[in-house]
Amino acid sequence: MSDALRRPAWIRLLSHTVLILLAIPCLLPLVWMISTSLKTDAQIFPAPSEGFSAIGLKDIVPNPVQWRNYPDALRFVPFGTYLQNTLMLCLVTTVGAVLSSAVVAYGFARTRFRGRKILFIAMLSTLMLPPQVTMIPTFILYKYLGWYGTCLPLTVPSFMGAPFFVFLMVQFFRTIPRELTEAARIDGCGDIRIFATMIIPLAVPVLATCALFQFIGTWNDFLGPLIYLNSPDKYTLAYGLQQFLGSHGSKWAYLMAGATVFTVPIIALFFLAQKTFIQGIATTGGK
Amino acid sequence: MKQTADQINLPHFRRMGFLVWPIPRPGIGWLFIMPWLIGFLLFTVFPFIASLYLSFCSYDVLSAPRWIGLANYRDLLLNDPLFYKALYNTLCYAVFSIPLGVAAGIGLALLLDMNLRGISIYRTIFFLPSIVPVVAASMLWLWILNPQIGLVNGLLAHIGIKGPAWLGSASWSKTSLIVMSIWGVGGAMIIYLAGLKDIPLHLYEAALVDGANTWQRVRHITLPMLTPVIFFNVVMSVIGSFQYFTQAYVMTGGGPEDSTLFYALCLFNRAFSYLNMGYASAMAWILLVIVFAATLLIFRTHRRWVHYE
Amino acid sequence: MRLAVIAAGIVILGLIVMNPASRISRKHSDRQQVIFWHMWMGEWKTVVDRITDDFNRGQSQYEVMALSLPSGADAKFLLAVAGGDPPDVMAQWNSVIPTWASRGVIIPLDSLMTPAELAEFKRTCFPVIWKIGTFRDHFYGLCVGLNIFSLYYRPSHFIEAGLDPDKPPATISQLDAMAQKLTIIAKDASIRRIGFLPSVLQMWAPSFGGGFYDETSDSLTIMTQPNLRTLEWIRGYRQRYGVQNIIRYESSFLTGASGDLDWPFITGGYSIVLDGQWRVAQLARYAPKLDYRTAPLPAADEGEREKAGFCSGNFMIIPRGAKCPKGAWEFMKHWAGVTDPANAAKFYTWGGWMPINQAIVDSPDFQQYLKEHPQFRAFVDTLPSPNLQVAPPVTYQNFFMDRLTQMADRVMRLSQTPEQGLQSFRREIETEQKRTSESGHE
Repeated sequence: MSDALRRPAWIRLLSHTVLILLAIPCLLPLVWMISTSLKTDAQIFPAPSEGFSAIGLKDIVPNPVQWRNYPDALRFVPFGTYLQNTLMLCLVTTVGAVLSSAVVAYGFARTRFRGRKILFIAMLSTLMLPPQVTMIPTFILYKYLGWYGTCLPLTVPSFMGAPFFVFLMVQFFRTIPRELTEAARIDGCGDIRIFATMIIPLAVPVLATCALFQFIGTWNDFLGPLIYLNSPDKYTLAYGLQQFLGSHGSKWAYLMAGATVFTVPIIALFFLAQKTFIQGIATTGGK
Repeated sequence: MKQTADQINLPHFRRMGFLVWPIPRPGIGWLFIMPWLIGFLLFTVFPFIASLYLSFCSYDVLSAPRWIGLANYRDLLLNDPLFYKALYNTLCYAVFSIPLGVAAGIGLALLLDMNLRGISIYRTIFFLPSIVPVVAASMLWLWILNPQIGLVNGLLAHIGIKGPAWLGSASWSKTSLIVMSIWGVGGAMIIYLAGLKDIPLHLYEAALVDGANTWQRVRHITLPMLTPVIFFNVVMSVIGSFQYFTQAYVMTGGGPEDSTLFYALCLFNRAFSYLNMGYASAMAWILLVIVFAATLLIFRTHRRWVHYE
Repeated sequence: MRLAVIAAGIVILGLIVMNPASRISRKHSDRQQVIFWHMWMGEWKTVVDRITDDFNRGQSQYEVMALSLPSGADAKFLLAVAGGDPPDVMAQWNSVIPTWASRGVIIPLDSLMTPAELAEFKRTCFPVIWKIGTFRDHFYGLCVGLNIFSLYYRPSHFIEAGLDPDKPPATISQLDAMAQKLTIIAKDASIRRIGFLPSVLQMWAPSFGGGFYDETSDSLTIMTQPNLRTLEWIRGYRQRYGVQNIIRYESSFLTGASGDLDWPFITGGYSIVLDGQWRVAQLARYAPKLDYRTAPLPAADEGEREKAGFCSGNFMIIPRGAKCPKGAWEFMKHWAGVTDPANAAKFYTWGGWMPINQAIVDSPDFQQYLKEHPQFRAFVDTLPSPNLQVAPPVTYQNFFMDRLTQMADRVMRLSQTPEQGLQSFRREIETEQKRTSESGHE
């Protein structure tokens, strides 16, 4: 909220306490991941005949710290190639999904036409069929189109509006007062101008939220590239991370080093970008 | 206001349509939804129809599908105890995880909406469960819920309670997974936060002038203004929880005693492990009907509790 | 803040423009390409790459291109087959053989051999290699990664309990008696150490004369006295120590902190365990100082059905529609050691894998490996055993094994008696069998 509603000190103290307590379980996997990534095999592996032992602080701070796990793990996979492929896919799909979903959402939220409700329900119901059963027909379709082995199955659909984002944006667009746009309409503004000059600026937070979700989704997706691409030099970081998840005695420290390198960019992205999507639109003078 | 604007302007615009607006107004909506419509017709309709067709077939992916009529549906509904077990498990999960998830998401968003020092760090931390790889997250939960040396049972032991075996027990495994799902509420929290930031400040200021206390402001301004986002999250969690899969697949594999065999997991086994793709398609379409009915029901109540302006 | 975002953007763009990658390309474009998909990852992928290189070096006709597919990626193969574009050779688990062979999507390997070659292969390979790769009298999968199970035990625990570490259990009843002596229970009835605890039904059923498939009559055997006795024996341990005590005790080792290295045998939680040969290589690497020994599965009674057990494994198969099946077959033979056992022996030592014939075992490289890892011998000794069983060759094998495991779990948790368990399992299998045959996929 705003400074006008600043709370008394004891409430702020209480809030901090509650937040810190709740934050611990959310922070632990990251701490654990980083801690394990800096250990040697012997440190990870339980010592013989130790018996029961609860996990304590001494297990979290590795001694000595094994920094070289990071360069070693990264040498294990063609990290540069994977990073480049991942970023390319992420950028293309994020731009595509956010732009197209915004356009479609405007159509559903702010215009009226016959069949709008039915089409909206149809769009939502495409989310209700588990992807496992549409996977094979979809694959056959792309193969028929000659897209197998190329990036097209991974990028083109994102330009067709993602139902999840469309629905979310519809909910936000509908809360924008109609008086605002009707006034513009009387002044002779068409829908395209209303969309581009009024709705989009007001919807920056929700657009940014969708961009974040799409970016993370593509970043984590390993099955998509794996299925549609056949050459190892086209795969992504998520595939590289899977490489550490081998059976029987895989290098656990490398896996965690890889996982940390894989996760930190997203954390940084979120931290830096949150101002954009959590910032109130009240300040932009919308309402 | 909205109605009057429509009443006055629409006929007016219609009459002089070609002067002001070259494209007739009903068409503009179609133009906007065109990207989705093209994608839908090109990439979605065929797989959909194909899976519906396959649900009436015996199809093992490896050889051509063979039409067997309603046999898959008959076997599922009359002859497959695992189907009902999976449906029951999924309903249990949905009934508890959806309301808890909504409440936790809103609560957390309200906390993180406060003007506190370091709030952006808190937000990042609460979003972490949505980004750390599943391996790291499952490691953590295996430890927290470990019956012998885990955090939860350790704390319970301090107050003299012998904790259950959690994931290792058929009667507690679903509870464990529901608790884990609340832990991963960060994604929904972000959406609620965006919704909270969308609430016009002047409403709060007016309430403050009227002398409303914090609870009254939350009850009469925040929650009603948040309903479009709550509605979105409820619908999406209904769809999502019926397809709940990853954690059960990674951590329990459906056990112990089939207590975490969820619908999507059962379907996945059928489709890719046992290669009964036709059977799995029939399962998928039954699921679609159930989720569709539930969603429609929520949409019906929609007018009563969702406020848009 | 804004500066940081811009800086990050520049770094990202720089990475994209710089293109730091070294592109992977074909070395021998004049040769026929053999596409090979496998599921080995990480360090195992390195071993596979070395084997592939070894093959490519000695070749003038073919070049194998290996692609490692992470777990859960069987989907890619299914899609490739459904879409009509499979690889030339693929590594898979044995459960796919009956399913895929019955659908005709994999090529019988005997069609690529001359009759003399086939006879020679059948004569030299271990019986279990033939059995596990065969479906309806045709040989479909060449097993390069057989999993054999034996007992691992801790001599120090034996001495502590007054047992002779040179005499591992030779019969089931000796095993029971030793388990009793090695187990330590605290005053509050909680378990401090488990001497031995049987748990995998299909592993032990062969020793009791049971099992789930009868070759001579080509039929499933579920509700049989030996199977019932095995289940009762497994359940007996749970009744003795208490199911809840066992669940708690076992879970205390699964902290997740070391992933699949969570193996209570290392921490001394168990004195005797049943496990696969891969643990030998793992222990050599992660716990080199651990003093342990291995022994084949004990016999039911003196000399009766010894070295029994249950095998699964990784196979090489050739999909129908492969563009270069001949090259695929050459590659498989090279890897498995059909053509040159002495050369292939080193592959087996790199991976710690089970050889497919005696010639490989006898080769200098492998003998050296056995000298370095004496614990591996129990597994090699089990290899020729006629008592080894494999999963039933039914087309719904994955369903069969999944439901078998769930049933055994219910019995071990005392939710069902062994009779109820086997009965409900038989009902489930009968329904599935009926369904499969009605839909035309027997």
